[in-house]
Amino acid sequence: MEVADGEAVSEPETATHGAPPVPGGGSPPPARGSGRPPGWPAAIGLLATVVGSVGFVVAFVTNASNAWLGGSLAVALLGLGMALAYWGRDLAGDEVISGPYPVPHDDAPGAAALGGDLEQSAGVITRRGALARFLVFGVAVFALSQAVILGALGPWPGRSLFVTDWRPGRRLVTIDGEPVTRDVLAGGGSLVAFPEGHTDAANSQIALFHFFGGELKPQPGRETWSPEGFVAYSRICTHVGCAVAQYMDEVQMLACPCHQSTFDLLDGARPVSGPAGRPLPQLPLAIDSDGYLVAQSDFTEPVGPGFWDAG
Amino acid sequence: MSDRRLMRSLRTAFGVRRSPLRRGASWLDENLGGGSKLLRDELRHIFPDSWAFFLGEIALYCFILLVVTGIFLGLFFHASQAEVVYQGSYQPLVGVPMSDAYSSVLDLSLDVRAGLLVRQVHHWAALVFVGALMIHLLRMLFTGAYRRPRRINWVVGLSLLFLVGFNGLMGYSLPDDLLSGTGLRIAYSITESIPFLGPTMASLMFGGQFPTSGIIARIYPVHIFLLPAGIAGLLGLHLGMLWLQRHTEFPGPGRDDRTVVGTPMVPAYALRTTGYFMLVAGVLTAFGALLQINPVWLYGPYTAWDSTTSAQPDWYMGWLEGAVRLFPGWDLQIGSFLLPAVFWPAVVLPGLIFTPLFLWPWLDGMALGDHGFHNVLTLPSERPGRAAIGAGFVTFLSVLLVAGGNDVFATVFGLDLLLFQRTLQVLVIVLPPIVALFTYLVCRRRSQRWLATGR
Amino acid sequence: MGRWAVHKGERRRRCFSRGPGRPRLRPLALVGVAIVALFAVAGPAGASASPSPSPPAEASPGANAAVDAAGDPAAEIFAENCSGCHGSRGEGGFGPTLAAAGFASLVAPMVEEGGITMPSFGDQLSDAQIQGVAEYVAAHIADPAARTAVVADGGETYRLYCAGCHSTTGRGGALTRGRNAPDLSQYPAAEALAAMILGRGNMPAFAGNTLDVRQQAAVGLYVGVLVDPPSPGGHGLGYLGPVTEGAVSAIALLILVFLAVWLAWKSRTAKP
Repeated sequence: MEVADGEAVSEPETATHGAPPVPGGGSPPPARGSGRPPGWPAAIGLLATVVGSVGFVVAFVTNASNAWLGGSLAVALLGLGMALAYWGRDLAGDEVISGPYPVPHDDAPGAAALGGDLEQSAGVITRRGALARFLVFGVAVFALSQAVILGALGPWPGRSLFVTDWRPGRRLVTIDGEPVTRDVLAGGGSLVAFPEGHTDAANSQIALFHFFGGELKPQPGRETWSPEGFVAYSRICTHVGCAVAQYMDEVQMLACPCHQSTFDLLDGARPVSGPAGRPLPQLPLAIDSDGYLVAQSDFTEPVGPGFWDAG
Repeated sequence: MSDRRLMRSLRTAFGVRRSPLRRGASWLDENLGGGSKLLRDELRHIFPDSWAFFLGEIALYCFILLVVTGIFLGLFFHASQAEVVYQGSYQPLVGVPMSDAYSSVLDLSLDVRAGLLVRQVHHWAALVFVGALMIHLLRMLFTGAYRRPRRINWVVGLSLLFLVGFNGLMGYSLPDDLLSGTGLRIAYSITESIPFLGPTMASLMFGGQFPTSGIIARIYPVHIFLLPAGIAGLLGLHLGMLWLQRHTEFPGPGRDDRTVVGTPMVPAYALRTTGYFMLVAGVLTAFGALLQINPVWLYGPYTAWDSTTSAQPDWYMGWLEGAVRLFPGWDLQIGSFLLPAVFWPAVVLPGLIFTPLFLWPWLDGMALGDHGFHNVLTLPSERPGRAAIGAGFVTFLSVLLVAGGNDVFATVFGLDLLLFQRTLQVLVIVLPPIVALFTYLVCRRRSQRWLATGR
Repeated sequence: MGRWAVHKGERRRRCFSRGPGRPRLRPLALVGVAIVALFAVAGPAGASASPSPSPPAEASPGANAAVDAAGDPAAEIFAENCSGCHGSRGEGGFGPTLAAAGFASLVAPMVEEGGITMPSFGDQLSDAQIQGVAEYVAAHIADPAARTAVVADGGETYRLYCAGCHSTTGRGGALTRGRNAPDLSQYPAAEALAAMILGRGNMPAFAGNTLDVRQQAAVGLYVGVLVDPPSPGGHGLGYLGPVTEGAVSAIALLILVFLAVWLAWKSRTAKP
């Protein structure tokens, strides 16, 4: 057996099965002249506890930084922990005892008797066939009926997933409410826009781009949607709904920062890599007589991630 | 006069006072009506010794720490998304409209004494809690601790892992910051993807179409009461069964399925475990003191039109995030209905992972033809098949975890993001079987050598 | 030290050294010649500057009080060192327009350290000179609207337009196809302003109609916060978010497992 610093280890006691042995833990006093005082690690730990606790109070009262406040508390806790752990490990003896595991219960006659009793008691109900079935039916109907409470938690989605706040002729505005004119993006780049009067409408947010060199590939049925090369796509990723914000100017791609779905802006924002399966919905644009960009209508498909009824 | 009265009068006559512990023991006996023998036996409750048996304790003490720090946090947090204009001490956000919840977390972190420390310890403890649960589970898996009579306890423990992970997700979403709010959007979309019922379920859970103004208030009672109560209840069951059945033990001298050998609870084990509790608290406090975690003031309040790169959930959800990132955009058009691709990695895959895990004790029993009582553990290498499956499972989850942080790894190590993604898509299929096979061969060689030479 | 003290590398200006009352003709003439020479050089460069459209909201730099040519050493430093790229009134040229440079705290580090294409002047100019020219640019060259920028507004704009690529903490991010948005903490904040105004590689330009001068300056201020963010909680761990936090928590777990091994060490060979 290993010997701890300056201490003799008590002889472990064996116990007979079943009978709780006499507690014999603890170490005898150390032999004289053993050098360091016994349990000195615990003493150091407790010293750290005291110092740390005082430090914690001081740090709190003087509004010290998080590092000092937490550091002193950590010192106190670690000191106390080391002291107790060391005490339990090295000063409490190496008593090792044995005892019985609970015996696996293999009482077939007992289980059979229980089964019989249960059957007999339940017979009061099971004897009456039709009535018993009615009881089961009634309880089941009652239990299932309570599920309707869930309906109070929120509205039924209805058409809400298919509609945004874009309307025919509604102007595009920036997040600060400024209407968007045709000279915006003359220097390139992109703009985040909302329907006028709805700058808090999360499902209506769009990203506006201006491709005036004819790079835009016409999408079938959408030839009138991009006046003067302006094109707007929904900014809600069709994967799981993050705001698609990574505009890459050299390759004209818009990527989503969440899972890196990448959409080709020149080709109807169709996904070219990443886990998105559907293109970003395009908002049909027009330029009104005053030079403001407006929507021709709402999106023609649901924005954002897909769902069962969206097909 | 009874013996007891005689002794008491004699003691009073001679001025002898018994020690407080003795007096307490007789008080308990008088008031509990004969529990002394039971208590005396249980004081000597035997705990088998191994470092591996401390892993569950790490989790337990993290839980206690979370409850204690959580009480403090709950006294300051405002679970409301009502718009307020921040006027606290953090200049870059002064004047910015934000939810009351986010503002209260800023105040707590930056303007309440010890608030940041408590918050950081709480969050570090949550991360370590789940980590401890996972390695505790792996220890069970690799040593066969789930066998009869502990099959129910295995199910209880796995349920605890489930509840704890979910509670963590709820917890870090409470501050309503940009990072966690994005996670809530993703959770909403994943729920939406469920066929037929998805959009309805999502709308009921969140109280409407995303973003709703009540989701934080709804998460709050779940996080501070419902789930912790569930966890505490299951924990009581878990520890109760552990107490009654006694802890398993590694093979060794004097140890068999009928004999448990170890340290008595009092005094040594009680001291050690209490000390360990303080050490867990101390390490987590040190981390909370010195290492910043979840600096929500840098993330900003959540709005549905902001997003950020390097957006991940807390690490224990990383495997799910990785699955969502790696699975290609294979939407399914079924007639006039759409089954979004994200349904497979985010809903079906967790089911495929957790169901066999729940059924593992029974599957293992059937595979080995062994449904007997076992109290002695088997070393991992003694069951090569089990070790191989476990190793493959861990590899699979690890690759997914790395995939969940793919953009961060690409940024830090200068990798091509697309190439990295393709590589991980291949690795997640190819690597687990390779590791499983390798583990199987290593374990079989070790167990064969042990059989042959006894070493 | 007054304006008239001599700094290293600067020619002595003996404007008042021979007593009050002497006409200050010679220095004035010298400065005038310098300005004319600069126009001759900067003029053609200014004409071919990248087309940054001037939206109605942006007042031209000339709306400032006229460049103080009356011997202000900061103005002279500007004229000598800055106007070559940025134009004599900061209207831009080879380098971006300085209309958004409304804060000395944005300008000084850029002048001191330099940026990606801008050289550093830390060796040529003293700290006081750098501070002086920074204040000069903020007060006289930048658009007055830029000086009213508020860092909190910059944060909101940053999170809307910038965080998607550069992350909320400014540590950058990998983009698809081998590209990446750089770590903003590696440069002075004004470098972000330059990139915003000019565009750079895959980064589009945000100047002009997307963000006006005040918004640009505000974003510049916010980036300045991100370059050295407040870390009251301790070490920032790289500000990369939950990935590093998870990895670090594994270290905590490892420490606790190590402590468990220590605690159970003596009983590992225990016999009953």
